Amino acid sequence: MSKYPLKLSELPMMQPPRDGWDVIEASLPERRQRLRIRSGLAAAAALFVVAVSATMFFSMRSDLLPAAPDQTALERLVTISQRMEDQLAKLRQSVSTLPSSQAILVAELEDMVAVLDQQLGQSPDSEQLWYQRVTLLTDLLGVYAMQTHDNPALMASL
Amino acid sequence: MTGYSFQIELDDMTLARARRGDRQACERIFRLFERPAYTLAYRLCQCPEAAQDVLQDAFINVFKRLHQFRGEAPFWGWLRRIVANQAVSSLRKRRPEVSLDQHTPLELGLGSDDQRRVHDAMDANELLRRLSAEDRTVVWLHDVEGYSHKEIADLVGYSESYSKSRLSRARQQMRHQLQHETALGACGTMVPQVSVT
Repeated sequence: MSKYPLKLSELPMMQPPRDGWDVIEASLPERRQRLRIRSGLAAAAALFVVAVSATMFFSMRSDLLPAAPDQTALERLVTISQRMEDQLAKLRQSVSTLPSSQAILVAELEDMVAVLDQQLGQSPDSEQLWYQRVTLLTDLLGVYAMQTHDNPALMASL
Repeated sequence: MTGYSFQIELDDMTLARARRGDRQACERIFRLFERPAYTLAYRLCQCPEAAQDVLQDAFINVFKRLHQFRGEAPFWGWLRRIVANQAVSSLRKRRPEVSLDQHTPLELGLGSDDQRRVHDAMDANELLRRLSAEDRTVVWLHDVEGYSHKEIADLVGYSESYSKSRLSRARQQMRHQLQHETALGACGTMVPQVSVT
């Protein structure tokens, strides 16, 4: 600093004497478990874009679609779900950042998947729950597909 | 040692999750910023307990108001403003401090390691600590955080020109104090010449 020979900004970072997280956490409101649609129009528009992107994505990725013919419906859903998880894992690594609006949507969808997974823990053979899971994963893949669509190199690497 | 910086980027995903009340995301934000937030609070308050309270209250406030964050400016800037506000508010609740010009000079020993002790005593934080709370706030926010006088004036509730004059006065006091300590240090390192006859 030219004004006086002190370098205040070089003073070290300090560690709080105690961990205050517990008190802060106790003040947090209860978590909302369900998707709250604040704007019906905005949500509808977002889902439309996701649906279109998902369709484009799956038209290019036939390997995600089923499955051996001798499998039961439940087994097919589980297999598809697993393949989608694998694909999502790759996409998460490839797409390092998402625009805020899509990040919010991804967070919402992942929250819903987490809730479904809890329910599947209680009812692992529920075809309906697995179907819902595949639907949510389709939406999630659609969000990432929007990112990869503008980046052919990224799409080709998947 | 790591220097101080509040300018930490927060990813959109964590922010989105925290907005939905995800505790893990909130904790991640807290862990990312607890040290710079505590450091800012401590530099202004100069009291560990008060700084801890500021840290806690500021983060409670942050998570309550997270939905108000529009994302037009970096998150760290918004958070830093809340911490600074909380610290200023805490200072106002405390009893008035003794300002720099009422302090007595540092009491330095005159032993053989005086030079190092003078350096220790001249520690920037020590000089900062000796300022009045008002002056310290202006110096830290302006010279370290990069706040403009207008921003400081908005934060503490007085005019820009008052902020400028406080800064000028505080710098002058710190400079005098530094010179004073340096002079003391120079005297302290001198070994009296004793002639033996």
